[in-house]
Amino acid sequence: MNKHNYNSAVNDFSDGLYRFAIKLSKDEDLAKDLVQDAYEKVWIKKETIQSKKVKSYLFRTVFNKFLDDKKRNKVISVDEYFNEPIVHSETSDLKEILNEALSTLPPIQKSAILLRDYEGYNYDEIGEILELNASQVKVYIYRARKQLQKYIGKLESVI
Amino acid sequence: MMEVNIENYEAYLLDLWEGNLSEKLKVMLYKFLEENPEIDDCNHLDLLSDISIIDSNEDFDKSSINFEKINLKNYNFFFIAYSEGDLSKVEINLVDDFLTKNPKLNTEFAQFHKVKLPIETIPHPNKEKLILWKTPVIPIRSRSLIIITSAACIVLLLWIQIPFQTTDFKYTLSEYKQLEIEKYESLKIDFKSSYVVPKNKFSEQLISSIYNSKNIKNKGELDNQNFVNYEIENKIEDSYSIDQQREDLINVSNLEAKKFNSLTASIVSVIKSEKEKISQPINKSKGKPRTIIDLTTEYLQRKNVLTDKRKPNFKGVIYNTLTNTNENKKPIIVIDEKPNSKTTIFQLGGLRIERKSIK
Repeated sequence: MNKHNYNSAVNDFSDGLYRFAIKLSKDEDLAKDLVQDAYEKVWIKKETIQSKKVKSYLFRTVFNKFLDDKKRNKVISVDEYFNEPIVHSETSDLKEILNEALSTLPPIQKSAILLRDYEGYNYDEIGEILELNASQVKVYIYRARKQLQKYIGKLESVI
Repeated sequence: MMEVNIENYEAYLLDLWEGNLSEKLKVMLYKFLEENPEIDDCNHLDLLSDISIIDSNEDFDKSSINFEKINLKNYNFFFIAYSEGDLSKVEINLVDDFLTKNPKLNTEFAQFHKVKLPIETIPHPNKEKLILWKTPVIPIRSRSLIIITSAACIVLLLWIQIPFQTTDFKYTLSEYKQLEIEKYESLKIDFKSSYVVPKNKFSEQLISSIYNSKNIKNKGELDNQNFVNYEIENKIEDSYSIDQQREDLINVSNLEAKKFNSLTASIVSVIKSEKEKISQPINKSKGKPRTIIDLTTEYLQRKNVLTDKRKPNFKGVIYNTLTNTNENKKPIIVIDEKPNSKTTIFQLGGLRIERKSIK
């Protein structure tokens, strides 16, 4: 990977990576840090990273860094333990509802869903990023979909 | 073979439940139970039914884990797989048929399609910072360290006043000897009345006058007025005003004193110190407590590292180094003077320093 490849990676993937980071962390500043750290790591290891693999490497770095920081800071969302959705009947926008529902998912499920829906990755590619096999990815995605569907179902029943 | 009795019949019962009892023992056990109906009625049959798994009617519903075909137990799996595009055409048709038969599940089926995240564009706000050669990639975590370091550097620079370093400098004395300066200080040179010789005559005339004055002083005959009169009597014409005299005095004191002999240099120092005493503000002369910074500064000034104005004395540092490292004591090797610029090359040990100034 050379400088040209690196700059191409910035132009092609930084927006998607930032979106992934911001959805994962729900914090703009932290998301910027995660993206910047990922690109910095890519630049440092550019000699060993193939240009074809740089996208998955970036996403994997962001995900792992997020988990590491989370463990280090011991900041654990209450939602991760209590997955019962909090229904806001005044919220009518599906996008907002999904964002709320997404925040109730564990990081691994959330990441799998984000990579699947936003980046269009298949199970193998997601598995490469999240360091899982394809079957595990499929299980996580199915669990996440079921959780999201339950959230929407409860909301619709209230409305 | 042991006989079945009230003491051991339970062990035979356990063997019976586990299927380890022979036919002969079974006959013996059943015969014992018939002979003791009170046992048969109360305990062992209940126990037998409790631990029996084979005969239990509460089987696990295997249809919920049978994913070959959609049913009411596993339809969630097929709905998700449908929305994910994981089903074959045959399976899709099966799901469609299932929904036709179970229309109440259409809502749930639709919800699984809704949980796909809509495309959302969130551009990175500082993408250009990530691109190389435009701006360096600096982790935010490192920024605080950089800011602190920069602030420390700025404070240091302000303290030593590098940005305000002027080009004028003062050569230090090549040799400083204790020359009974107190005697000359006792002359109490008055700038308003004292005489300052022209530059071109300074060297020889001032030296001779000092020698003469020294003789007179030794005789105890010279006072301040006599010193002035003595200079006048030596027919040195003075066409300068008092202000011009003081300016010349300052200029003289800034000359390369190392070229003078030791005596002349000492006199220049005396005049300078006298001038500084006069020019110092009153409040400064009133025994201000000295700090460690003042002491350090004085030490560095003595070592020619700092100037009198507490500015870095690069010339002094170079000269000090040269006197130790350059045997020839010729710090300036080459002076290349051009119409627009002047290049001076110094030798600092094995290091050459080139200084170029534009006129």
